[in-house]
Amino acid sequence: MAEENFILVVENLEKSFGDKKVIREVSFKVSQGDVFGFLGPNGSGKTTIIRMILQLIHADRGNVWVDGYNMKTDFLKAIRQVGAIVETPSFYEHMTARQNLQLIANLYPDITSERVDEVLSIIGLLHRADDKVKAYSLGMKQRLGIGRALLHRPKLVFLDEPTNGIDPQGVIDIRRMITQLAREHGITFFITTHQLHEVEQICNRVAILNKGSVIREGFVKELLNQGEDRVEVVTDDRDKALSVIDEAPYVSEFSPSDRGWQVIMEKGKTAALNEKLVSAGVRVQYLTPLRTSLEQYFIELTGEEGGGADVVSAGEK
Amino acid sequence: MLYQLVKNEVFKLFVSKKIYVIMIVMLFFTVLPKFEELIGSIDIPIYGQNLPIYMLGTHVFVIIPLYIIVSVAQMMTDEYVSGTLKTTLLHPVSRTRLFLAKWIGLGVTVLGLLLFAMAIAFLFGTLFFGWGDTFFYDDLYFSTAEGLMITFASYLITLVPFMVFSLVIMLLSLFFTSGGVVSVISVGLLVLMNISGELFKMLQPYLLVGSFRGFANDLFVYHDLSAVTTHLIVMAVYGLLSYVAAVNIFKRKDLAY
Repeated sequence: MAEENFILVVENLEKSFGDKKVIREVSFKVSQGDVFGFLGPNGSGKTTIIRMILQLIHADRGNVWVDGYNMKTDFLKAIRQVGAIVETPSFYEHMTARQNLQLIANLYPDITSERVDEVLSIIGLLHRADDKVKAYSLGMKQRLGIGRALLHRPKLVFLDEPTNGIDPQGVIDIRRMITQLAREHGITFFITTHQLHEVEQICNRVAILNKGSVIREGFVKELLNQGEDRVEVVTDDRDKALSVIDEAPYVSEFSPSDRGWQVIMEKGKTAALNEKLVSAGVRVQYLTPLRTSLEQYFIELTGEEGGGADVVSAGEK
Repeated sequence: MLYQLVKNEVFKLFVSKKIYVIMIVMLFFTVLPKFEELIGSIDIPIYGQNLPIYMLGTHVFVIIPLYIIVSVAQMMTDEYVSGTLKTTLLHPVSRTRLFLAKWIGLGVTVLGLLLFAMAIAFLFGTLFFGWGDTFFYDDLYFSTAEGLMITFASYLITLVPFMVFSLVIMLLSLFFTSGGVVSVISVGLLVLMNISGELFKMLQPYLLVGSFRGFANDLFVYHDLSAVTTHLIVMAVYGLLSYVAAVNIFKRKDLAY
């Protein structure tokens, strides 16, 4: 049985296709209220793991608990807590948005037609509810997919690449919707995305997947702030500053910048460096903290070059 | 829950254009005897009261099997590939129930088509040829009341072999990832069974297609108990094997789309 505080517990999931093991002992936990990012390069197995969690693909080994219910042995109770979009949301295109939602509403005795309208309103599609889905843009379909995932008031929502292929305004709308739903309705989100800055923007926790294994899991802020300070020393006295920085035992790396020096040092030593620079007569104009981007962190961790902000190409299977 | 799932499946089938195309085709075949009469090629007495029982043979031979094939291809294979199948399974629905719901839903629409076919045959038969005095069918004469009973019962009981046929096609649909391929292979199977039955008469009782029309005829027209028993055994074997195999495969299938 899983611990009570976790809405999702994944334990030692494994899967092989033929002789090839594609998922290896994947384990992680998601707490209630998290916006959990699931990040990994192309072919790392993100979508396969989501499918395994949701029992769409059968795991060779391992267990999944949702809200304390085992997905294998207590599937109907566990899945009741879940809403999900796996890859591109699929609809009966010749039906209207309302009809598509009604098909799902019919599966729950407590979902009324008012709830269908309420969800259409939340996703901003009430005015297009009676249009056929085939007339919808990809962004509208994605929003409708999120609406369908929310219809039965789940505690945990899986979104697989929710902003994939959507125009910039649509991306902003969806991110805002996720953040708002997490904050106002306490819904836990599990999001796979190939956009690293998306994880930085909307997720509080992240698991990084590489070659079918989770290689790091934790709070985004902590992962980006691990054991070191990065600052830019803005100064005109470059040479004098260099001798101080070079001699400081807690400085691990430094490199020239446009306005002075970029310095990487032990965590909590920024003030000591500043004191040392000032006492050596270096005119320090600013000490600007430099944030490690998730992209940098990801590349360091996996050795994968992402090509801009993306780690993987769209349409990962 | 099963009721709601069946309701969903029936709704999806009725929203699809396929069922209306089939109804138009049925209408066309039902008015065809009038044209045959006009060119003088009808050699049996046709009236409003016996046109439906003759038309049943036409509908069960091609039209309804084709409807079943294209509907199964759509509701199983196309839904699997398009991803809408998994959408339902992301809710508190077991795979066995979903399979059953699809089968029953299809059965409901097939029953609807059979009743529609019977109704239009009564209507156009009476309009074109008058009601008639007696019920003549296959060289046998029955009273009007008997004839009506035979007709109603035949249309209703014909659902049974079609439900079995649906299971066979549903099993087949689980092996392919294209609705078109499922349709072509299923039509091929249908043709093969029909040809085999014609070429090798001893095989005929054991081929499911023989029960499409034969079951109702043997039960209500000829009262052939031995033939009825054979039909029942053949349908039970086809049905049970297909159901058990299909449900097991469906339950274990990885939904990769």
